[in-house]
Amino acid sequence: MDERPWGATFVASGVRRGQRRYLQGVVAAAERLREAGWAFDPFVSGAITVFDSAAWSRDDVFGLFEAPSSRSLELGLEELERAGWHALFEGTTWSIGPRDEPPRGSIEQPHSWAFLAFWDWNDGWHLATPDEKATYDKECEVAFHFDLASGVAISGRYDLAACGGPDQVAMWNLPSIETLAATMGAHEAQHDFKFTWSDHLLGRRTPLRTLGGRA
Amino acid sequence: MSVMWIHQHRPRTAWYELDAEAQERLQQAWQSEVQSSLGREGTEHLGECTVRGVSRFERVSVWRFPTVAAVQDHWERLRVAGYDDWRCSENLLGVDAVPFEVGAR
Repeated sequence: MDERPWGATFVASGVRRGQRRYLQGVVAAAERLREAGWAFDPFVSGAITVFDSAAWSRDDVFGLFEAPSSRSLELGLEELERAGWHALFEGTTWSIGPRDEPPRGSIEQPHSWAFLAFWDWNDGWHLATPDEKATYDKECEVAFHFDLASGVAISGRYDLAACGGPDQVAMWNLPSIETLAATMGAHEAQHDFKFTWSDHLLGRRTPLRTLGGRA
Repeated sequence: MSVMWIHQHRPRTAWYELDAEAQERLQQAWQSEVQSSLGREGTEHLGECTVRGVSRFERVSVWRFPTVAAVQDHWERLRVAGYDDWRCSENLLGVDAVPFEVGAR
């Protein structure tokens, strides 16, 4: 039994727009899971949100959900599937795992932009001594302080490798693309990427119920 | 409900520089965690094979676990024993297919 909160991040290559019956089924299932303690938006309590990346990525949409336990996550993913998730979202990859760091930063109004960051610790990190890792963490903290001061909110961090994902994921809520450029510059300057392979996906906040639209 | 765990792995670069004794010590520590997992209900090691000729990994190991929490626990014990520092891996979770009926709510 694993009673830590567990996260599920999904990336879908396509959305079957205009399929209202599938959308309604999935929204209804999400609303039931919300009653059972799931969060469907890392930054807005009670919202059911996906992030649209179709205009600039081969992947159309992504999201980060959280369940109160691993068992709740297992059962909930099954419910979302039963409700038609895969009829609505083509080519979904789910990555799941326990939360191993809490959210950071608080913002008064949710921003439209979000970025999903996946990373794997590389061979260099695995070989590093505890001192070298501690120094690296301190240098990264300088960049994280800059991020928070720039108006970024950061979701919890999740440990995904056991269940099929890369090592870690977190989502940022960002006020603008300029903020993204500035914060990535800060992380580059602080050598964040020395010890990771990192992959990032940018999207715009979209309430799930509005995802349909015209086919 | 149970889950299958498909564990693909290859040695990290530094593994090849370790002497035989150091490798043996690490492998024994990992084997001890494997035995511990096999002693738990609903956990089976279904098979093992080499995939070096057909993928970027060296070996695949297939397991059945009772829950994803059990997968996570197995992984975390191996990780504490240094497994992830010496082997690069990618894992897949296999779950029972769930039927979807058009029009079902």
